[in-house]
Amino acid sequence: MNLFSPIITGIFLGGLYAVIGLGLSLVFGVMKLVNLAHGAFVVFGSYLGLALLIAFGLDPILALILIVPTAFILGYCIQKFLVNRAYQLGTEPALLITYGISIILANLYQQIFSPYFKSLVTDYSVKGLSIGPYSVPLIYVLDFIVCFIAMLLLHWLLNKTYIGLSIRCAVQDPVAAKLMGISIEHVYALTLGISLSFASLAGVFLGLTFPFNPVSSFTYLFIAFGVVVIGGLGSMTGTFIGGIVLGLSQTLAAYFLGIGLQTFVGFIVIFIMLAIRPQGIFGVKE
Amino acid sequence: MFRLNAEYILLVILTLIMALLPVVGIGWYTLHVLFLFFVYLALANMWNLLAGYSGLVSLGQPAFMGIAGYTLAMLLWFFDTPLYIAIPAACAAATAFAAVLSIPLFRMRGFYFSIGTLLLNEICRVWFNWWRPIPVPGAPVGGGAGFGIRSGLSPISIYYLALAVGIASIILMRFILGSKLGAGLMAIRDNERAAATCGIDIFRCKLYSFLIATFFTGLAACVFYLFQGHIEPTGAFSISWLNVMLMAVIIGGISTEEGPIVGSAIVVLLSQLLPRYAEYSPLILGVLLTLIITFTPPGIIGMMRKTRLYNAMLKYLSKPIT
Repeated sequence: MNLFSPIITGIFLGGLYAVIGLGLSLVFGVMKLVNLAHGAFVVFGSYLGLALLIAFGLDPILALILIVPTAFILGYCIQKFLVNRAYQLGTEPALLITYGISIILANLYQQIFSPYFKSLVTDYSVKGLSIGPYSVPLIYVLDFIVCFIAMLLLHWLLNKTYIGLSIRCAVQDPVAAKLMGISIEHVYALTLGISLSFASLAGVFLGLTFPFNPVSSFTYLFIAFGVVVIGGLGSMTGTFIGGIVLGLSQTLAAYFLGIGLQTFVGFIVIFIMLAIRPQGIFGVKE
Repeated sequence: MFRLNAEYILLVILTLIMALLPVVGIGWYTLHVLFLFFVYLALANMWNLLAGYSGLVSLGQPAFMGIAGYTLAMLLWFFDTPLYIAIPAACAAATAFAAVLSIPLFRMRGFYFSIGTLLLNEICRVWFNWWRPIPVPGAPVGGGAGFGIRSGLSPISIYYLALAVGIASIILMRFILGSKLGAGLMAIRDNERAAATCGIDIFRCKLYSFLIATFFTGLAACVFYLFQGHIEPTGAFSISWLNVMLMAVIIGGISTEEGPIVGSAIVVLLSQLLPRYAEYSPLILGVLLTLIITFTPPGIIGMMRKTRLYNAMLKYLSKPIT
């Protein structure tokens, strides 16, 4: 029994899953809204990276300079013009509108890029890195590093900047925040923008790691949600642990039960977590 | 409950016209569109019962449809069960599946419930892709992720089945909404705590509506798969079924009785009568859905109820239940 390889890939994969979950967790924490389009936003990063790679031969990691601002503007506009309106009516219309957005995006990807699997192929995405006698794909290590960078960045953004301060105010007491002259609509739009930026960042690295197609939107939505549900809301450590639990459960399931049931076990873990402890391992019951 | 009023006369006349259409020799294409309309109508009505009247935004109906379809396919494939036993058995299997799952699902509240049910589709799809019940000598797993469904029914009798299920779903909605269960459900939807204080058993009401909706969704699925003649996991547990229900209900008007009828007609027309733009129809529906939620959340019927003409027309029918 050689468990080293599945465990180490599981942990590295978990780092990437945590980045997928970060944006969802942020929106969920600030607006109490499950963004069903989050998976489609993740794949948005992958497809934009693919378009830039095909059109200009731009390296996907370099292209992040273009991708992240585009994603931010898109997220800001979606929240400003669509979700904010629905949000005033209650959480259900807002939930359904994000579902509508995810259908629109998934179908757009299908029209533009065909329903077949694509991947971002670069010279470093296929290289291996040897740790002792074992070899780990280099891209998995990059994923893990990106996870730490993304988490530090979000931490800095939320705790050290004025935007972060206004977001935290809006979470604590929206009415009081309004009285202090914070525009809640603007803060919500910024939040979705930031969430989409992190989603597209995760999307680029996912595209480098795995092949993707328009239907991947839904798979990544479940992974993101699983990370948030396992780790618990609003806790950065929780999101990280959640990602690793999910990553490990998938690679270990693939090792013991075969590749066919890999995602099945991950989904069952999420489902059981939802039923038993929806506030997560580290979460506090509201 | 069943007073003879203009509404029932209208319904009976329309049903008779629909039933006579194949006899007078209408084209196959029109018949196919009508068939889809009735299947979508039953699905939309049941989703409206869940989301519009019970406050259960279930995104997992395709899972129950797939379970019903697979049970039907396997009963016909392995046991050659006659249809009048196989169809109720398939619906019962879906309902039993829903009943078992209601224990974990009803622990989830609000959008946790939505996500939990949405996950069901994926869980079922992955499982049915992996599970191959037909043994193939020499292979590690057998064949048969997909099944043929041999019913021996003519397309016209399947059309009549769809007609019956569609009309039955309209009558069922009226019956439930007029009953004690419907009153309880609407009270829960409007204010759960107040309803509980008035002595309404919240868990039981929601469970009944969930099970009834699942049974009828399964029935509609059986009719559809009898027509399609085969079933496979990717199509059976596909999100596109969810899109149909959601769009029909929201475009037509959620929490209204007429809404799903209008909505299903629009969805069928958009997806079938624009064959040249068939690939764009999900996109068009998605945009329509987003626009409707943003600008007129009550849907088309909700909008029409504000006009004088529609209200004048309603005078001749019985009062709508909201």
